[in-house]
Amino acid sequence: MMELDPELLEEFTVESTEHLEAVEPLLLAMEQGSPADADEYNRIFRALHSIKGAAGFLGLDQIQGLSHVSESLLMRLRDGEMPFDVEMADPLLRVVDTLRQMLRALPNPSEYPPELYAEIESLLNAGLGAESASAAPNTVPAAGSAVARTGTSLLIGEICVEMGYLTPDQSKSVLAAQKASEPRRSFGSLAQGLGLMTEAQISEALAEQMIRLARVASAPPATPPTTEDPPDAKPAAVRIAPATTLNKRSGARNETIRVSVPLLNKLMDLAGELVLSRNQLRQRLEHETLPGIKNLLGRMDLITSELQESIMNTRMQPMRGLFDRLPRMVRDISQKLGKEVDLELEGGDVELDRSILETLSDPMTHLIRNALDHGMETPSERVARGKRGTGTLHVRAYHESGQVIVEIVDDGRGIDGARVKAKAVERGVIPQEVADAMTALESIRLVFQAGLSTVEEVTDVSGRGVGMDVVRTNIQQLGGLVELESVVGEGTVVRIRLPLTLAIIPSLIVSTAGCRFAIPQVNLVEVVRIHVEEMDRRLQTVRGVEMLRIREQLLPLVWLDRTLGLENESRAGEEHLNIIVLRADGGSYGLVVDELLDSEEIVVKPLSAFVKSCEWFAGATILGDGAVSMILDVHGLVKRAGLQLRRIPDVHESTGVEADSSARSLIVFTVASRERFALPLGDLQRLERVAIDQIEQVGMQEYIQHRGRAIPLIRLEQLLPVGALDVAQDELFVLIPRLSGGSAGILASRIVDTLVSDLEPDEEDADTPGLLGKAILDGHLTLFLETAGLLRSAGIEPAV
Amino acid sequence: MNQESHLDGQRRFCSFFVDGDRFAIDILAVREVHRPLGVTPVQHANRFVRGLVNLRGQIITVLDPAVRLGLPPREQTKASRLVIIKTNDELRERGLDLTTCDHLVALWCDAISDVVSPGPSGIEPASAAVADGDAGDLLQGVIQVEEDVVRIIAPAAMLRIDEESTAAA
Repeated sequence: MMELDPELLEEFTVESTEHLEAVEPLLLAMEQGSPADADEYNRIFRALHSIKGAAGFLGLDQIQGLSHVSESLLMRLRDGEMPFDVEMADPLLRVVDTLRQMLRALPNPSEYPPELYAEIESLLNAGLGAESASAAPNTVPAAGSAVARTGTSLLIGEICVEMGYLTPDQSKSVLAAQKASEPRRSFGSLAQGLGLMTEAQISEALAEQMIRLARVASAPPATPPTTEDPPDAKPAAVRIAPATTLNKRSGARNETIRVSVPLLNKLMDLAGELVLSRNQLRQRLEHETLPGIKNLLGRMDLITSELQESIMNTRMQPMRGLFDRLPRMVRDISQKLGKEVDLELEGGDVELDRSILETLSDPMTHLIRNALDHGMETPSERVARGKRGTGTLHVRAYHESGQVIVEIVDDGRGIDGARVKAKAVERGVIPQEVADAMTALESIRLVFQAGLSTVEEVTDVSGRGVGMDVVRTNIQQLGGLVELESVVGEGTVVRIRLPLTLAIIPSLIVSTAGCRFAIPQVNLVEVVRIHVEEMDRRLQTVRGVEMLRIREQLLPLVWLDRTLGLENESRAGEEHLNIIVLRADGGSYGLVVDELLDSEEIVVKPLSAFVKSCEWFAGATILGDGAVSMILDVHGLVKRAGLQLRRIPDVHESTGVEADSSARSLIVFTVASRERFALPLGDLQRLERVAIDQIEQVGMQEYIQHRGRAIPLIRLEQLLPVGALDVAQDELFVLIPRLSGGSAGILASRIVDTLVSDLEPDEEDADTPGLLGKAILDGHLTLFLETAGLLRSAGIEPAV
Repeated sequence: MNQESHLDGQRRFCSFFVDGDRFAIDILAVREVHRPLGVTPVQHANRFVRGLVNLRGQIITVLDPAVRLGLPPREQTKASRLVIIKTNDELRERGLDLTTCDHLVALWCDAISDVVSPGPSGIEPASAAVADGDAGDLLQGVIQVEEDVVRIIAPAAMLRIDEESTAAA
């Protein structure tokens, strides 16, 4: 006997109940006299079909039989084989009700109330009209237990005869009575009324009918159903697990309840309000000396945060829901295109806000179609280029500094920047001189402009140039970003950065000209502080745009006060220039503000229609002190400033670091999966991204080649009591300290973040060479490294 | 029909001053009156929008009726007030047969004045003299209160969301 997995049963019950709930309104509408269209029939059909399939899998014959009969009825309605009749809605609704009751009673069908049987019977008889067309031949070569009874008829009258409850004549007279009855009565009730059958016999006969129906519905002719069933098992109890295992589940059934999304949204809003009130209360009371107030505030803090988190979690769903659809999609598309693709999925457990996940679905589909259609070559092309015939499409999701990153990586032909550029000029998207000045990365990013596509012919899978701009807009609406990297001949990486949730976002609060603004942390790269004396050297104007010289690159600057038309008198006396490096689609830029005030978790409030057109604001929020603050939109600000984003300095790219005054900027990285390390950004000369196979080994020492030099590599685990380098990834980072004179690199597995902090680490580990101490940075325990000591203990004399 | 202010068959209006003239709005459309504390400006928004203000956790868009009436924006003084308007949803919930705006908004005025009711002659159509040019449809009419002509604002027109009221500057 098949053992029923309680968890499976549980899932089946929940799912089927959901299906039934979805079906009900459609049936109700039918009953109101509006015939369903093909689409609605299909929806009902699919729901019942899913129930049937799952029930069949679990061996729940009765449920399977009933859903099968109604499914056939629907099919005929849909295909127009049977005219729609308002009265049909009623039996279908009763099927829904009956199925629901059966699901509720699921562990023990033998305890189904007798009236349930009667109901099932009349439904089945009504359905048999629909059934007879396909099942009339009654030739089901099933090998199951009940077939021991030899019969194959699906009609209740004949079954009763076969089972010896009725003589053929009795059966005929009951049928005749049934035909004459008005309203039509069930066969069973009539037979019972005529005193020909007992209730128990009717139940037996109905159960038998159900099983035969189920077999018609489920058994593919070639594969007989399970034969282990003891031949004389009571049909109604076939394949039902022992009651003991089922009783355990009865408690588990209440573990999930359905809550409407508006209610969750309301809870979320309220939690947001609570966070705001908490912030205000904290600001007001922080300096009070009331006894016990600190403790109380602390506790309230904790509870509020936890409450907010829990409510947020109710909205979180794993990426898997989205990922599960991809294999099929990739298979279909690649078959259509004659391409061979292996799909690798990673990070299905990463959770995202439901609304983000929903909105993400379309852009993801689009990007994958793009990758397969434009990116991936045909097998012969690939082989001709010396690649494996089968391409790889890697879709992965992971967390990085409070964001979720979704990457779609293909090893196809890559995007040819020059071709995109030529196309853009040809279509008049950009003038020739702008194109000439573009870097490779910038020209690749042109695909985000409306009306650009590199594939000349139009295929039905993707592309007429619409697409990437829509993808970008969709992602931006979610408060996210799309990044694009591509190497011609090697492949393309599309990286989507998303906030965890839309409702509450961590932000940096800045001020300029006395006004406060919030900047979502997701856009933040780093903060640079420049002393007035340095300004002449670091700032320069290129074609009318002020640029900041940073790590051998020029970063365009946007002055927040000027862009917003604010008169700013306070700046005159300032000694420093605060520049916030922001990541926007199309590149980074520096936003000049007066002051950095705080970082706060803010609740985004949408803007009313009167201010919607202000694209430079993403929304508004209420700060801890109760004042309203505008949330800056990093993309809109660039537009407002009339700026064309140029250079793309990215700390993750290979860049030279020159001495700057951002001594308190830290780069945070990991080596093993857990420990975080921090180094002052100013200590670094360069940061390199290397493929793991670029690392060469000579004796015990590892090296990488850089500009014709071999640079020895330092593994932190060889110098400090920390976890070993995670080499299970394709690429690593090499941090090259300035003090090494460019002749040594520290291996890191991931760059977590760059941030500004004035935190001083504790000095507990000060006696370990290379280690300054520990501090909590951004919520994580972080080990602060000291470069000179580190180099010395690696046997490298620091250059001064 | 809700009868709050119709008990004696009289409509009541909350009156206020803008640029020395007296205006009024159906009191059923008014949620409350507030001092304009901490109005956060929205840079480059339409001149009609004075900014945003926090009212017990809700963000309210503050509008300057003067701008719609073709007058210069008003300076803030000690007497300045915000007339906070009920949203359409709130009105509907209360069964009030009035239309204002779907968003939470407040009207900025120089000073708040009395609650007034139309005299025996009722609401008269606004003559060209009091409602010149485009401002015409912003007024429902006028009522005479003692010596004063009080201009009755048509809330739906005043708070209309159109290109004129939303375009960024």
